[in-house]
Amino acid sequence: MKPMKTVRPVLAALLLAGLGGCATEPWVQPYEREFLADPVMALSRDPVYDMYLLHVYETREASQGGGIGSGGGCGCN
Amino acid sequence: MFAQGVRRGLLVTVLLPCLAQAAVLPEDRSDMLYHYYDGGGVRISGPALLVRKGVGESLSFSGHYYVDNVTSASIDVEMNASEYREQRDEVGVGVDYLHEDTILSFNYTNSVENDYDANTFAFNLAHEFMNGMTTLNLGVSRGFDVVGDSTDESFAEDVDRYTYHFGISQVITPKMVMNFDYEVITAEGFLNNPYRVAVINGVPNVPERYPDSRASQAAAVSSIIYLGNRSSMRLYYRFYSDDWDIRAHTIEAGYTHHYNDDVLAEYRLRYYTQSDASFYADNFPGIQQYMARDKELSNFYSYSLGFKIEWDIFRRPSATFKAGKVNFSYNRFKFNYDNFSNYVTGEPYSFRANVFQFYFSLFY
Amino acid sequence: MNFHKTSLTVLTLLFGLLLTAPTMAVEVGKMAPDFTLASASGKNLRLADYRGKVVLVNFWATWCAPCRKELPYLEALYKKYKGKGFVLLGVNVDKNPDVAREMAAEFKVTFPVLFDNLQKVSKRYKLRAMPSTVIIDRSGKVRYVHLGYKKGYEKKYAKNIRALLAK
Repeated sequence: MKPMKTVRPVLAALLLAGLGGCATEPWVQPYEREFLADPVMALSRDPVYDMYLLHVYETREASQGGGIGSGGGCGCN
Repeated sequence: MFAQGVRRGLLVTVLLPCLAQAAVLPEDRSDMLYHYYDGGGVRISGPALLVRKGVGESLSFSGHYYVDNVTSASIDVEMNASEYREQRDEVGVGVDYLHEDTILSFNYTNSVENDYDANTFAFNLAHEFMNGMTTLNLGVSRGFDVVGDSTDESFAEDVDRYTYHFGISQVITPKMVMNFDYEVITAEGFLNNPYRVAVINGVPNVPERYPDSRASQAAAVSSIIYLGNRSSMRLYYRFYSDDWDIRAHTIEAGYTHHYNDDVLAEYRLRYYTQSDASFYADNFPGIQQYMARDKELSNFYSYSLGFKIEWDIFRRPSATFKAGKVNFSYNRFKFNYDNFSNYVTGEPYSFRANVFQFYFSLFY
Repeated sequence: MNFHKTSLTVLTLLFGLLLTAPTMAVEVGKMAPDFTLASASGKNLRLADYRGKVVLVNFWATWCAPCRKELPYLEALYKKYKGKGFVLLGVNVDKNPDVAREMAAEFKVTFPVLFDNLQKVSKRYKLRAMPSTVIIDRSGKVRYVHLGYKKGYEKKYAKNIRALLAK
């Protein structure tokens, strides 16, 4: 199936990026994450709000997906 | 197949001396929402409730309840029927399990209307690396739907849905985060609406006929940038394509800032455009193997402008109830259809919609 | 078929990452880097002035949820051992010291709160997590380092403190 063929190289590339990431030092230290922890930088402040808006789009458009998963930023713990 | 995958994975892992930092579970909270949509002859409103509570150090349970009360005199309904009322109820439960840098999540959602039943099981893995600078998301979900027909008791068809999601969230600088998400969605079964008809030579004639499968892909990239003074900008782009020949682009731009210590305001602009399905037509010259006249599958563009205000009514980090806020949002949509016409006037159809959300959030 | 195999490989790889261990901040056994910082009391406080006492240095921030959870436990430890030759220094890394002052007051903290708002000390201590706790013995050497905070860590701190007070 067409979509499946594209997924494999994408996964492989990102896997390698991930491995590379393990060997690199993080360049934003945990104590430098203050701005990232501000609610204005959050991917999703209120899931109930985002879920509803997503529902409004999906019921009127042919597109689906591309939603954003959970993100990092705090660096806590 | 399973063993091979596992073996390969373990082999690579042993060679990685990664820094490991623990992730955190989502905050405990409850939200009570009232939503209202009014546009194109359709009015939908209702409540939504979301509750999340952590148990111990590793588990977080969540549940949601959502209702759509629909009064529809939409353009499709006008052509074919009279105004109808219906209600859709959705219930969901979920559990998140935290172990060091990984969060495993499981969610079940059930949505019921008088003529549609949907059940979705979703599993997600979120893993942080590089001291929390990178978060990897892998998700799989499976949906089992039953399509009914309120005019025919015996009608019951299945739809099987599969979703695979891959996402990366990456901290680029102390003031910037970027996200990349890729999703593959497949659906098999009875994919059209049993009530809708195709128009042939100007006459609403035959029920729509859709292929019994659909394979879609969506790829999205976005970034959030801190602009200083407790404000940020967000940019989002998504490309969608499927094997029904639909191609769509979504662009969003947003600006969020703290108006003062207690009030946060967000402004958002969204632009969406899609090309029609290969078997879509406003007016078919004759009967074809596949025929759709659903405006959702037509050539159209839409844009929306909205704002949201969040007001912190109290903040007490050391108390049991840590914070409470009141939120209000308004979004205005305009839909412009290129090749879907208003059946009555013959003109290309367009409509405007108003969407309101009002909700309370409590953190504990 | 292959798609499922690749997905499983990725998933297992990620599970495997659970086996890796964090690296230390500042080195155990070495002298703790000295520092002088402004404090909430108005005075400047210097680490070397506490030589002879067991010192717990906790690096925290108002924007870090586990740091907030830990504060009441740190206050309890301070109250319990301060009469026995122990001192707890809460080094805050917020860019704005006023926010830290407010939160310390909110949590009714009585241990010294120091402001590392330029994050120079955090850098010197090579912090790998927020919060980070460094426990220093009477001679000024780093003895124990704890990264992050999870329920039960306060018991570990108590154990470390008792061990060092006994020497």
